[in-house]
Amino acid sequence: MIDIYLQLIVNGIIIGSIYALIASGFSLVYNIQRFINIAHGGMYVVSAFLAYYLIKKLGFSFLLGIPLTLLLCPTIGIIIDFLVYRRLENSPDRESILMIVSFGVFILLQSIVLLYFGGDIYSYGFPAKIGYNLFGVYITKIQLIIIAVTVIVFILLHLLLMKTKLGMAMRGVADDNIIASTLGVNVAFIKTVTFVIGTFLAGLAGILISFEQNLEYSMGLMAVLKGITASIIAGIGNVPGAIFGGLLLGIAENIGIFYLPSGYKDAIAFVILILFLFAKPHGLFGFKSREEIAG
Amino acid sequence: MGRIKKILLNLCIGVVVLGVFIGAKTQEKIKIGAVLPLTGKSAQYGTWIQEALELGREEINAKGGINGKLLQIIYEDSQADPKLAVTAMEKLCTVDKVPIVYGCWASSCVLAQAPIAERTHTILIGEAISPKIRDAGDYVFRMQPDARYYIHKLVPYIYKKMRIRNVSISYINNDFGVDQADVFEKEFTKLGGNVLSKDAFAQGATDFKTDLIKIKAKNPQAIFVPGYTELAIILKQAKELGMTQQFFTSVPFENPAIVEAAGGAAEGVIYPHHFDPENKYILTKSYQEAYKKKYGRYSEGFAALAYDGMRIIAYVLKKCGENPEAIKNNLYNIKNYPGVTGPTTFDDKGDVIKPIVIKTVKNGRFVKIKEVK
Repeated sequence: MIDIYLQLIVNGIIIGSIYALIASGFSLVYNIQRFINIAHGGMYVVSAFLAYYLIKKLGFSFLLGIPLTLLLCPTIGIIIDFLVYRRLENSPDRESILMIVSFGVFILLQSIVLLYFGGDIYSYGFPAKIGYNLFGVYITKIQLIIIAVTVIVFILLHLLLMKTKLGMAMRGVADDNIIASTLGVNVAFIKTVTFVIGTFLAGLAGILISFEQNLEYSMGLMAVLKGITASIIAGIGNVPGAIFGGLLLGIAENIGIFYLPSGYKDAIAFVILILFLFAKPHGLFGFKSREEIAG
Repeated sequence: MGRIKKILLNLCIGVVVLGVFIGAKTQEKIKIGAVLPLTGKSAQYGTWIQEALELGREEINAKGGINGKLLQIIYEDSQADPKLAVTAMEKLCTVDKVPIVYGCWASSCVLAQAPIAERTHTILIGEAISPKIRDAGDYVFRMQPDARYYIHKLVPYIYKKMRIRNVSISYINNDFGVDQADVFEKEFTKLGGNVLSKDAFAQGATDFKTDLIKIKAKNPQAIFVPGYTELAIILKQAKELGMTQQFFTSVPFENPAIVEAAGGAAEGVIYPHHFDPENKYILTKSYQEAYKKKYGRYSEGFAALAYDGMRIIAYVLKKCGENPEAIKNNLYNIKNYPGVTGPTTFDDKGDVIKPIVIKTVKNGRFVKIKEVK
């Protein structure tokens, strides 16, 4: 029985890693840009299909196709930022407007994928092989890669934010962009960099999930909702914390559906979301903002 | 409006009207309708069916048509969307006034079209599997067997031939999956088998590792999984988790995309189907050759049903002309009409009775194990 529980936790960590990657990128963008970017889920879909197209249709090797996708995704991210978000930067009620607009961008990206690829499922068709058996727990090579990538991303993000000048500037802008700009930080540049990293992370998640599961044009919405849930669990805007939020969400879902019918998987995630919003709106690692403390 | 413009306009109208008259004079035609998903997510299936209908139509017309009249099919695109199917059906029944409509391919569409067929006394021949279609109306027939019919044929094979006694059921949580699971459970326990667990998964779900672990803990001999493209991931993840149980599923499994996506894990899965492309029926060989010649590949099962449907339509039209009442009564009397999917009989509800083929996947191909009558 113990191996079953271990397997459940491992199952949770695998999918939780994907949630974590989405959540970290989402949280980063929220932190600097201060709006809920639903289009993050759109980039997840676009990258998955882009990599598939390069590798399966154009015959690129994985070593070429993946980096190329991870280069193209941030480029698309920057284009969207300049064409759409920047233009609405000074609009009244900026946060809500950008959120709604980002939903529009999401639908646009998803529809483009639908237009070119149709509603069919796509897959790399990797041969199904029995996974490695570690202490009664089965795990495949791709699943191990997913977990490893997430750990590496966590470490790199932490180093970037805490140990580099760029990271300090990013934290500064997140804290107060007016003060940051008076101190000589190029806020516009920081915002662009954030978008680049954010879309890169969405792209990474999209590519990894397409190795593990099938590709479907509609896979973005649930993914971004899970990412948002994971970042709220961690405390929205807390980038390294989002990784833990994702893992926690994945594990909770998988243990939950061991006892409940598996159709409740998404319900479990969103009940957790609601509970957090009620009881701990700042998440596990979040802090109250200055305005809230001041009352 | 200037004079010249007016003259030109009149001229145009004149040409069009004249054209219609001349067109109508050249050859008398007998029109039927077809509602199919020709674009959108299910376009593939609609296109296959259209190909077979066209092949059938050309053969009929080459042999002189229906009592000297050329057969014409008016195609309407439903995108497998019930709203569009209703509009298309309404147009075919009230504007074109066709006596027979073939399709749609999707159950939800056929169910939405059925009341129009009843109201306008138009024969509707669906190609869909929902058990609800059985009671959709007097004028509603279908070429594809009822979803339950497949399971009725599959279960005795599992229990008696394969001697499997303990199964788990994991089904897709929609009308189709719930009904398949219920019928399977009922039939299997009636024979004396045990259903160890029965659990639903959400349509479009993408991760089944924990569903499978739950089943693994029960240790059944076999697993029945009615679903669609989810099967690919289910089978793959089962293999990755070291599960060796026999998998059974249902008709929608026969889709090359599923086998490809499952990465070899689809080998040996057993399911019921209505068509074996290499069957022994007398018409099959010439049909497959004609189909290959025209479209560059062999026919799959949905097209084969449509081809048989087309031949039955020609038969009843020849016999009764365009009188829907006579067509309806004659369809109810169709008994063992030969075709490429085996002999076709319609029962008292307009449902088709035909042989079912128990199939499996071997070296990535769908092959017959046994035909059950």
